[in-house]
Amino acid sequence: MVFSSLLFIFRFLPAFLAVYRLTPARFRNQVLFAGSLVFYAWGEPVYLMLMLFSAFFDYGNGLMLEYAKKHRKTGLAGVVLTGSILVNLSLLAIFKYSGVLPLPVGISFYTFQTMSYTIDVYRGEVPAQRNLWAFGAYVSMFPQLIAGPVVKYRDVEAELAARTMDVRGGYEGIGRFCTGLGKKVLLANQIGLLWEAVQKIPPEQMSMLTAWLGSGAFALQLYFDFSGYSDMAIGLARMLGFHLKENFDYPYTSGSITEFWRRWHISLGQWFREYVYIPLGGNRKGFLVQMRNLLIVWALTGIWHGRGWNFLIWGLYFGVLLILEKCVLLRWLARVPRLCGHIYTMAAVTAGMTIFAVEDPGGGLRQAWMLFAGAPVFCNMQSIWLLSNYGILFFLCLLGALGAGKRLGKYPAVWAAAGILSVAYIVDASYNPFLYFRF
Amino acid sequence: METGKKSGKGKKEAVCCLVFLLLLYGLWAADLLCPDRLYSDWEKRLLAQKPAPEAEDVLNGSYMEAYEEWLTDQFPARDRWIGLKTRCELLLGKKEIDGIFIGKDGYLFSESDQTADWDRLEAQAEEQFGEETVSRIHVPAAGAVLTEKVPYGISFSMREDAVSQNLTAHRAEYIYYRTDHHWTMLGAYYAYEAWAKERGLRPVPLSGLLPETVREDFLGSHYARLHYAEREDTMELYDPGMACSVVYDLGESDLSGLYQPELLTSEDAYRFFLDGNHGVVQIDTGQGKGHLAVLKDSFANCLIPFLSVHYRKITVVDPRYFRSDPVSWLAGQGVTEVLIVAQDTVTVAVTVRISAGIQPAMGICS
Repeated sequence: MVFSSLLFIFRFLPAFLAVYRLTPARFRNQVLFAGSLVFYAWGEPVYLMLMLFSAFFDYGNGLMLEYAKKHRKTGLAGVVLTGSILVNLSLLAIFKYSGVLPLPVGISFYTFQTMSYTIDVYRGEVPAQRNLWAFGAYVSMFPQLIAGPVVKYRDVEAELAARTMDVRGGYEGIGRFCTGLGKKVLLANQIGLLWEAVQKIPPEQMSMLTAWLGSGAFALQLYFDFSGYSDMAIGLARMLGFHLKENFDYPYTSGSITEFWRRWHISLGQWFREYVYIPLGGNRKGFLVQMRNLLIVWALTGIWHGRGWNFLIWGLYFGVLLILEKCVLLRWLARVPRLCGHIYTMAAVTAGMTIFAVEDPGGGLRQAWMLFAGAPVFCNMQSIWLLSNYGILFFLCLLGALGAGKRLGKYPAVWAAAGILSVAYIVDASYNPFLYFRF
Repeated sequence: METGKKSGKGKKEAVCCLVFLLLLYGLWAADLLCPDRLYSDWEKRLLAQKPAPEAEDVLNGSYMEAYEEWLTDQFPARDRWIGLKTRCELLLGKKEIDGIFIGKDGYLFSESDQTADWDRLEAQAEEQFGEETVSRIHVPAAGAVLTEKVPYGISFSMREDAVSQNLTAHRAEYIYYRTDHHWTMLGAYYAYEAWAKERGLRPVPLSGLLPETVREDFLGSHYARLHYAEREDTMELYDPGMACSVVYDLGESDLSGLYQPELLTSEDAYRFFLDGNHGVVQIDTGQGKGHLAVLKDSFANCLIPFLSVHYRKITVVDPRYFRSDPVSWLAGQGVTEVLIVAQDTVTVAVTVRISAGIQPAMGICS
C-alpha cells in the first residue's frame, strides 16, 4: 500500500486510527503490529512471510545475545551477531541483487533496522527487547516500512514501551502528513513529468537549457519524493505517539557536498557512519585508511539504492567528491563567498542525480555531459516549450527546495490546500477516459 | 494569561484534528452512501465493480488490485476532483494536460491516430471495385487546420490535399468544436465540397442550407478528459433536407432517420448524427442514381447527409463494428462507388525557430 492512494487515505488510515485510539495503551503495540502486517500484505501478500521471518529471527538473536553476554560467552555472542548480519545481507543479496525475484517492498529498510538492533544489543547499547509485540511493531511499523527513514531501535525503544496519543501529536502529525503528501503528489510527481519529457528528446536536439531543466527536474523530483515520504512517515508516527528523527534538512541549501550528505537522507548516512565507517577505523587510522573507508562506504551507499551499475557509479562519484573536499576543496570553499560553494554543490549534485536517474550508466554520463558542454546549442524552441509548460512549477519547486516555504508548512490552511489538491491529483491519475478509441 | 494562550492554541489544534478526521470519515461515508455506477458517460467505459474476496485472488494480490480499482472508479464526485486538478494545472501555466493542448480562444486540441487500417481497406476496395471508383477523405485533426489557435511553440502535422486546403481556407469559421475532437457539420461541409468538386459532382451550395442550432451547450471528448472548458460549443445542423429511409444494423435496431434528436441532451451529443457508430447503416433516398459505399469512422457521421443528395443508395460501414470483412461483403451489394472517410494521423512537434523562417519538427513533445 502506498500513502498517496485513495485506499490508504480514505480506508486504511481512518480505520486504523479508530482501532488504535479505542485500544487501551498497553495493547497498542499489538494493534500497530497487526495493522502494519495488513498494510504490508495488501501489496505483498507472499513476502509477508519474509518480513515476519526477519522480525522473529532477530528477535531471537537479540535474546540470545543478551543471554551470551550475561554468561560472558563472547564466542557465542560473536557467532550470533555474525549469523544475524550474514542472514540479513543474504536476504538482501537474494531478493535485491540477484535480479531473479521481484523486489520485496521495504526490504532495504527493515533489514537495516534489524541489523542495527542486533549490533546495538551486541555492543551493549540497548537491552534486548523481550516483548515480541513491541519488537514486531518496531520492525513492521507501517509509517516507515516502505521508504524509511531507517529508524534505529534505540531511538524508539522508550516509546515502544510507553507513548501517548494526544491532540498535540495529532495536530503536528496531520501537518507533516499533508505537507509530505503535497510534496509527493503535487511537486515530485508533476515535476517528474518534465524529466520524462526531456528523456525522450534525442541528443542532437538537446540544448543546454533543456538538459538543465531535465536534470534539475529529476533532482527536485527525487528530493520531494523522498523527503515527502519521510514527512508522511514522521507525521503518521507522530499521530501514533512516536517521535522519529528528521531525515532531510534542506539539502539543496548546502555549501558543499560534505554538508549536502549531512542533510540528505540523514538516517541512512548515519547508519553507514555508525555501523560501517567508524568500525572500519573512520578517520583515526591515517589518511589512506580514511580514504579507503570513505570509498567503501560510498560504494555501499550507492548499491544500497539498487542493483544497477548506475547506482555504484553514483555512490563512488560522491565518494570521490567527498575525498576531494577533505583534501583541498573545503579549504578553498571556506575562503570564497558561500554562494560560490552553493552553486558548485548544486551543479555537482545535479550532475550526480543525472547519473542516478539513468539505468544505463553510459547514457547517464552522456546526459550529465550535456549539462556542461555536450549540447549543440544553449536554448531552442524545445526549451521554450518546456519552460512555458513547467517553468512556474520548476520555480516553485526550486523555492521550496531552497527553504523559502519553510514557514508556509506551519499553517493549517496550507495543509488543507495541499491535502485537498493532492486528492484531486490522485483521483485524476486513475481517471481514464476512452479518448484514444475515438468514438 | 499564559494558560489562556495555551488553551487557545490547544483549541486550534483540536479543531484541526477534528476537521481532518471529519474529512476522512466523511468521504468514506459519502462513498458508502453513493450507489455504485455501472458506466461513466464522460469516460465512455464500464466502471470497476466491487470484487468478491476469494482465497486465491487474495494470495496472489489480484483481489487487492481489483479492490483499489473499484475504490478509485467509484470515488465520490470524481469529475469535480478532475476539474479541480485541471484548474490547478492551468494556474501553473501548463499548455499540455494529459495529452490535451490548451489552445487560444477556448480551443482544446489533441493528436490523432488512424482508427483502423484504412490504407489496407483502400487498396482492397480498389482491387475489388477498380481504382477510379474509390476515393478518400483524410480528416485532419483540428490543430492541423486551426494553426492560429494552437499554443505557441508547437505545430500539428498536416497533409496537403484539396480537403485540407478548403478547410484551411475557411479556418476563420466555426469548423471544429472547441471541446471535442470532431469537426462541426460546417467543417464536414467544406470537406464534402472539396471532395465533390474533385469527383466532378456539383456540391449543394452552402447558401441553400439553413443552419439550425440543435444544442447550445455541447461539451465533447476533450472536455471529458479535463472537466474544464473555457466555452461551451454550439452544435449546428445544416440539413440538405432529403427524405431518406434509414436502416441501422441490417434491421436489428429499431432506429430510423439520419438524426437522433433525443440524444442531443445526453453527454455524448455527437451521437445525434447517425446515432454514433454502427456496423452498417443503409440509406435509401429514392432519388438520384448510383450506390455509394462509405467506409468510415465517426467523422463521417455529420458528412453523410450531404452525400444523400447525390446517390440513390448509400451503404455506410464502420469496419471497427462490422463483424466480417467489409469489402467482400460490399462486393455483393451492387456498389458502384466507394468513399473512405476517416481521421488522419496528426502528430505534434515543437517548432524550432532559427533566425529567419520556421523550421518544423524538432521531436515529439508529448
